Amino acid sequence: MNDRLKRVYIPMSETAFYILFCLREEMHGYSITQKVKAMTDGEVVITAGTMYGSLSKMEKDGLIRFVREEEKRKLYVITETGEEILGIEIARIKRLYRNVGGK
Amino acid sequence: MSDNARLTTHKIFLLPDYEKEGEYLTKMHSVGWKLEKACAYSQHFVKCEPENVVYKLDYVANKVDYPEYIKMYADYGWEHCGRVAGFDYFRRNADGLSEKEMEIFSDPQSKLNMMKRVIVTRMIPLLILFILVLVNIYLFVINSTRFDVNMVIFISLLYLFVFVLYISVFIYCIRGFRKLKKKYTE
Repeated sequence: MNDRLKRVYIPMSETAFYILFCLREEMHGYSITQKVKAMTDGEVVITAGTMYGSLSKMEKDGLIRFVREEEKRKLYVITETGEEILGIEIARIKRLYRNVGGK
Repeated sequence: MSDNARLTTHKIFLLPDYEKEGEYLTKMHSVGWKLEKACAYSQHFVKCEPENVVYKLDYVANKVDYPEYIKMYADYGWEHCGRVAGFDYFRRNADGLSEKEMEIFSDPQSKLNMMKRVIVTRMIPLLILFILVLVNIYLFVINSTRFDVNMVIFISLLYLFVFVLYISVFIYCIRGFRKLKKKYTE
């Protein structure tokens, strides 16, 4: 695992976390925003510029990859490296949760 | 009654003024002037019903997937309405929208990232150009004895003007970017 990626992505912003989490299935930008909205009762709203910037950056860093295009919408999916980073972050969040009294 | 009344304004928005420009266009639309075409130092409007339409500017350097980029904004409800010097202009009707939906960036980090892109790909080339101007001035000064006196005075004044203009613009930009950074990080 690349140390630079760990430094940049862990701990992860809520935006980055939900994007990576959603991309365990292939999706495009707007559908990620819709899904995240539903998952968080409208609390987390990822807007257009932030989504475009995040996807470009994650693709460049090799966390996600472009799969195909559908009506000019680019679909992405998480890579092995992305899974690894996401796993580390999930473990970190679970530890946080345990330490504040969750089960 | 003319349905196609037009208006042109000549407002100068420098590099750190992209938010102010969006606010200006938003205000113009709210009093019935819809942006028809944005240019570097002018804004062209066409008469419309006053509407609550919000305008935002984005800057993405080295866009390789431009149609997909525009499409993504369209998915979110943003209409692309201009492009000037790498800045893309978007607008959408703001009636009934939440504060978040009126923004193109939902976290401070992406606002900072946009600012950094503007500084690296637009501000730095300007600096390089400025250095070239300085080299030019230097060459002129060391060769000035070869020219006629009136000519030297004229060219010196011209250079002085360019020099002062450049410095003023730089100071303005640096202060503007600082203010933006403060706004995004506090």
